[in-house]
Amino acid sequence: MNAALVLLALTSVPLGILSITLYRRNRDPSSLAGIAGAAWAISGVALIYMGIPGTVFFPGMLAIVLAGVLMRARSGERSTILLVKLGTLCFVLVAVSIGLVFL
Amino acid sequence: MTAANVTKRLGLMTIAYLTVIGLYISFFAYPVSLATPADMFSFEIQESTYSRIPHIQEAVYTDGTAFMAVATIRTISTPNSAYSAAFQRLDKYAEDFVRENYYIDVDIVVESEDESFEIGGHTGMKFVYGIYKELAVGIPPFVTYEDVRLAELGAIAWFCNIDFESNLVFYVSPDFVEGDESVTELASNISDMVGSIECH
Repeated sequence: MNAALVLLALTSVPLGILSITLYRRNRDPSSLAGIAGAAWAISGVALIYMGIPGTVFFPGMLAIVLAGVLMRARSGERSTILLVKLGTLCFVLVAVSIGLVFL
Repeated sequence: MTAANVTKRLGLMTIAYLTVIGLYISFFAYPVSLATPADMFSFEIQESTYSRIPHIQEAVYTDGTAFMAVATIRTISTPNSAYSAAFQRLDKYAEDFVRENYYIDVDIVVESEDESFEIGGHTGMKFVYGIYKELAVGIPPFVTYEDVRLAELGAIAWFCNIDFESNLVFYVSPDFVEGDESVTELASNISDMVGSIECH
C-alpha cells in the first residue's frame, strides 16, 4: 500500500472528528450520519484496494448522506435550509450518476 | 445556540473542510508509478511529467515506424464506462490531430470494443481503430481509388486499484503486409509490449 492511499483515506478523518465533536456537544442524531459517512469512506478506500468496484461504494455514501438529511428534517431544521440541502443532494446524485455511467 | 457557539462551530467546520481540501490536493499531487512493459525490444523511450495536479506521468516508446504511449494518472476509482465514453470520441480527435500536425487526411474508424480486456491482472477497456487513407491504385488511365488500411490504432485503459491510478495505453502499429517480415515483426513486438504492461 502506498502513501497516496493513506492520504485518500485520511480525507474522511477531519469530517469524522468534526461529527464526533458535534455529537458529543449537542447529541444531534444527524451527526451520527457524519460519523457513519467518514467510517464508510475510510472503508471504501480499503474495499476498492481489495478489488471491490467503486460503484458499490458511491451509492452507500449517498444513502448515508440522505439519511443524515432526513434525520435533520425530523429534528426540526428550517424547511428552506432543508430544501436547499435536498436540492444540492439531488444535484450531486444526478451528477455522480451521469459521471459514473456516461461521463 | 449562542453567537459564540455558532462562531466556534463555523471555525471548526472551516478548519475541517480546509484540511479535507489539503488532503485531496496532496492525494492528487502524489507521484504515480508509471506502468511499464516487460520488454522494450529496440524501442526508444521518452519519459516526462505531463501534469503535477493530478499527477500524470507519460512515456512514449518509438522506433520511427510504430509507437506506443503510456500515461499513468492519479485518480479515484474510475469505471470502465468513463474510459469507453472518452474512447468513443477518440477517432474524430485523432483525425483532427493528424490533419493539423501532418497535413494528411485519414479516416479513423472504430473496429472493435472490448469491455473486459485483461491486462496486467486487471480488467480494462480496449478499443481498436483502423486508420484508412484513400489511395490511387492502378496505372493511368485505369486508376481506381480505394480506402487502404494503413495501420491499427489501439487504446486501452484500466483502473489500478492497488495504487489508485488510471493507466492509458495508445499504440499505432503498421498493418501486416504480405511478405514483409519487418512489418510483421514490428506488429508482433508492439502486441507483445502492450500485453506485458504492468501497473505495479
